[in-house]
Amino acid sequence: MMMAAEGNTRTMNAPKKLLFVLRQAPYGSTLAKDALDAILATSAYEQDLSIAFIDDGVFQLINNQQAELIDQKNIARILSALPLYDITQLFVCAASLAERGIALNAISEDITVLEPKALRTLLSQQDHLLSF
Amino acid sequence: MIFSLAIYSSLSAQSQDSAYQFAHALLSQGHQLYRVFFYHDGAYQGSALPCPPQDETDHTARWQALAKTYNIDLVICIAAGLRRGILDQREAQRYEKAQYNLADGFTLSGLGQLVEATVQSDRLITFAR
Amino acid sequence: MSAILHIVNQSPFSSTLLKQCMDRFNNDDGLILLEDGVYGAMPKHPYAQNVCNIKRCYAIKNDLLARGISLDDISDSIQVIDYDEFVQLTIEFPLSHSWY
Repeated sequence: MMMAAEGNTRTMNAPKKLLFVLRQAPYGSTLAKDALDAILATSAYEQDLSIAFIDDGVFQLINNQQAELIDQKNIARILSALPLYDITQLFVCAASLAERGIALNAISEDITVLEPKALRTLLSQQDHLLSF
Repeated sequence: MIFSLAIYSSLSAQSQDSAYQFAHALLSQGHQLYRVFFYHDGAYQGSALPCPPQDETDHTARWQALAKTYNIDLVICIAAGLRRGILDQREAQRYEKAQYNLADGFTLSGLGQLVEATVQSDRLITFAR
Repeated sequence: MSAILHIVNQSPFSSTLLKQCMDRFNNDDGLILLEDGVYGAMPKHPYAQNVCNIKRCYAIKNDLLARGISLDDISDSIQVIDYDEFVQLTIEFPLSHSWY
């Protein structure tokens, strides 16, 4: 069993590399929003935090969302505020965008587009993948 | 090795059983289960109120027994719990609700507990839908 | 580069989940089929050949048997495992990702 002292030692170690893998479209389920809430909570813990939007998760990035029409909080607006929390390592899968016919000018600019191979390298470099 | 589990599914999904089977197996092998964090619909698993038929598994009781045997931290995300009506006495008073229903052995706490679990654990396994 | 253990829990006949997982699969990765994902161990779904080509592919035994899938009817390349072995695989692979 881990003793408390060892637990403290763990928190003093180098930050862990945590990647949130976001695969859900916004609004149809609260899972996309829940992932963002978890990301915001993580930002307070000084870990090496990244976010990767893949598959239907890329729909979260589309500009001009009017979520108020369905009585929900605007996911794109939350995403645009992430830099205020020092969350700047955002990545999107080029293949997922292309598959869905989403042009680069239809999504936020503050994000790095990665080809699948580069995205895979990013995943492999992490300590934990948080699957959303 | 130190594990934590993230559970996002409620009682109707088989994954909540898969999570238990995984937890049981890792503990039987002598590994440590640092925390089980219930988020999204997983918060429903923190209710003391489900009454399964006698010939069906009482999932809450099963987690409680495992937690008691191995001293496991079972955490229901407070934000997810409040949204779904999973309250402890303190939150029921805060929100002026007539009842509270958090099962013994579970605690309501913030998303920081999920983050902290990833920091303290070697492996984080997610069970959802 | 760390290998990833992919965990898939939905049927390839009703969901694109397995395909989406296959699209991101590296040679050294592992795949665990559990719950309804074990239907991916059957020989006749659209990605069956992809699954057969995976060096390290596993299916949870009780999920197969619960669904009446005979262990003789699944691809030889798929290793049938229990939860003890599932735990061991999550230790062996540095990273896991749950697809759902």
